[in-house]
Amino acid sequence: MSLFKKLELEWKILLMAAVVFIAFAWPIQRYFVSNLSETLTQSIDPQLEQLLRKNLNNATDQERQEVIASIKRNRQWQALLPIIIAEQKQAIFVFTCVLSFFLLLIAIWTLKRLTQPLKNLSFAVDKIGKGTPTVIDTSSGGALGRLENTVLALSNELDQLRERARVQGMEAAWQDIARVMAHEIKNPLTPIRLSLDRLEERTINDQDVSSTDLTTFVQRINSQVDSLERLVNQFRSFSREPEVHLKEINLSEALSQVAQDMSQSIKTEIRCTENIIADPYLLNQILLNIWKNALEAGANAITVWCKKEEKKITLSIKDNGPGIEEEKLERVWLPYFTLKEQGSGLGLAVVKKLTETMQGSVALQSQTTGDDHGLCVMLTFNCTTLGDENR
Amino acid sequence: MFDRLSEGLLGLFIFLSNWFSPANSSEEIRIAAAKEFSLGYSIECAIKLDWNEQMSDLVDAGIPLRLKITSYSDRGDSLYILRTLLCDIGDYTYTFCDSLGTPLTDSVFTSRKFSQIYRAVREYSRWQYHLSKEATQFYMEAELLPSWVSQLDRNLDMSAIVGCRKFSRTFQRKE
Repeated sequence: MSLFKKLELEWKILLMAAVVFIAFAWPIQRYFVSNLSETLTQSIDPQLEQLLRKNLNNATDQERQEVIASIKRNRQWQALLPIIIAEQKQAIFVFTCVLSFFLLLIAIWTLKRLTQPLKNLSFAVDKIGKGTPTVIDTSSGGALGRLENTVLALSNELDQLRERARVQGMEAAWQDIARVMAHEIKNPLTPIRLSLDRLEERTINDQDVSSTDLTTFVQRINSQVDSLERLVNQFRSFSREPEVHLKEINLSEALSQVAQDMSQSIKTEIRCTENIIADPYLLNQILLNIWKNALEAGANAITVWCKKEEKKITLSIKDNGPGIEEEKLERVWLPYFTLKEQGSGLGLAVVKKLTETMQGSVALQSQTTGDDHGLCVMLTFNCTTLGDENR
Repeated sequence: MFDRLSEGLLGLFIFLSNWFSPANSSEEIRIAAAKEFSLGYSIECAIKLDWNEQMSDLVDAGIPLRLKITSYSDRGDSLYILRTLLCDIGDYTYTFCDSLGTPLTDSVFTSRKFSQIYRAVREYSRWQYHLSKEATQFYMEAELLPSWVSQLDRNLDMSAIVGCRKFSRTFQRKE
């Protein structure tokens, strides 16, 4: 029954037609054949030969030949009757089969014509659901035509709603960006303002500003200016489309350099000697962001290993930080989404953008409990040599 | 003594031929009897027609039963017979006649009259074949041909009623 439900409408109709055909056509055929058989059997006169033979002895040669011919005809008709009936049965059967086959072809053709607009409409609705542009043919008449027009109207309305949502989404995104940027800029501005106020206050009150205090103020201001500069650089690297210069890079060397730069804060263990195709500058940016992200998350150790699969290499970088909850994993790719107090929300977004720029991909695995907690960033790059690519 | 020995050898030859020869049809030709002469052998071949009431009715109605018999050996002993079984409706008797495919003076052989169809069919399904002594293998084939139904002006395929169109077999001599 479930199989019947899964069948297309036209096949259901055809199946029902076949059942009806077998249920009615077969008995009708048998009825006609048995009637034919009965009629033909009754056409034989069993007394005919006996009557003809009565006059055979007194007949002349010519009459004898004629009588024998008549007897022969009667006998031949009688003997051939079962064969003729069988032939007729066969002929009716073949005719019925041929007729059924042609009726079936006509039925399939008709049903296809009837159901094709529905199928087209179904495909169109599927496409509309996925947001793919589609053309709806509204040439059918009757109820089907009305349905097509309704779907077309709905599609147009949906397009308008999507466009409105897109505009609203963009506005909301820009509002978020503006809000986060304002907040991020305001954070370093406050200590700068405070330092400057203290200096101004002392100057107004004719108080001496010792060189130690001045140094402290300057360092504080410098530090905050550095923060601002870093923020601006991050924003710029995220917003602009970077130039990519792919070349063969030894991962061990690239990783060691970053690990050395960060060695005072994070201990790194590298188990990777493979080569990949990437842009050295962009790769350095990516790795720096990942190390910085781990540091800001509270990690103090990172383990790096590689896995080669056909023409791809997956570089796994795992820290020993607190990890990210499963439900938040997808959102970390969004710009300005951060789970850290000091985070800009751009680090992982930049990692994703730069990796994809180099035809790579990035994925995350996180463990928030147990001894093995931490976040694992898996970067996948091509390992085919440039020469191979060109070939 | 020598005659008996040669007859025994012939018997062994026929037995072995029957045993080893490949059959190319489910309906086979068998060797009913064999005799040795100075120049060769006279072999009586037979087929088993699956006779039934309907066949009797058809023959009784004056429809001829036609059989084409072909035999040839590797020494050129050939035989071609077109055998027709007929019923004489006037006196209720059966005869069969052979049209021999050899340039003989009397190339048509007519059997005696049989009052019973089963006896006529028994004789109808047997024929003689002369084989030279040097022959090591021979092939036989009997094929039922379509019959002409004179009064109804149509052909009738008798093989559909008998259940088989062709009987054939190759015999090989084993030394």
